[in-house]
Amino acid sequence: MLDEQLEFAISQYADGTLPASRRDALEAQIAANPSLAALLAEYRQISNAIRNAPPMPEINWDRLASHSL
Amino acid sequence: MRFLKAFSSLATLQNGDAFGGWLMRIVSNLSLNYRRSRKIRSQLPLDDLLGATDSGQTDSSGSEWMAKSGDPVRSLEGKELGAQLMKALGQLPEKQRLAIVMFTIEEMPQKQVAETLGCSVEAVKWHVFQGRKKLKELLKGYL
Repeated sequence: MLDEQLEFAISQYADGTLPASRRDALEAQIAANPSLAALLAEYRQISNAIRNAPPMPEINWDRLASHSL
Repeated sequence: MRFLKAFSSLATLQNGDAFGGWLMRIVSNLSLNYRRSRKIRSQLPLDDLLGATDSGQTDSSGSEWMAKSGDPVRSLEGKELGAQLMKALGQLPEKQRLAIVMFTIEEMPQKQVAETLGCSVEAVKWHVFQGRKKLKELLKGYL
């Protein structure tokens, strides 16, 4: 099972918020381990999905409120 | 601006002890509304429960957004993902949801998110991580 702190570091790396002092070591680990590279790709994918998801249809709350439920 | 809106709604708060959670909910909702307002929106016809958008656009047949998108199937998939994402976000603990909305969606600096949530930058990173990890699980079939 993947160490949670390592996964946390990968999450920060995906966001570009991992401290520079830890970046080189993590990049070396990722380069040597395809499963870590896949995990990094997953974190990037979920972030992109969150950013680019289409907006939900708007509900007209005033009209909804005027209906008796 | 969001906090100004929150304070203008202060009269609706019934329980003074719940102020923190109430304020965070307003910020969260306004954040989502703000994000939605930055995009051209379309309406799906659910009779009169779905009304005109802020920009005055309506789409009673659904054909308008289908015409705008080159690939209706892809658009539907995207809308389904959007719906599932909103549902999944709603299942996250509040701080995780707010951290993701503010940092990932609104792209606010982590320091600002930390100030808004009243926690450290490290805690913001942790909330984003934990929230996104859960979203990854919840949206597994949609990505």
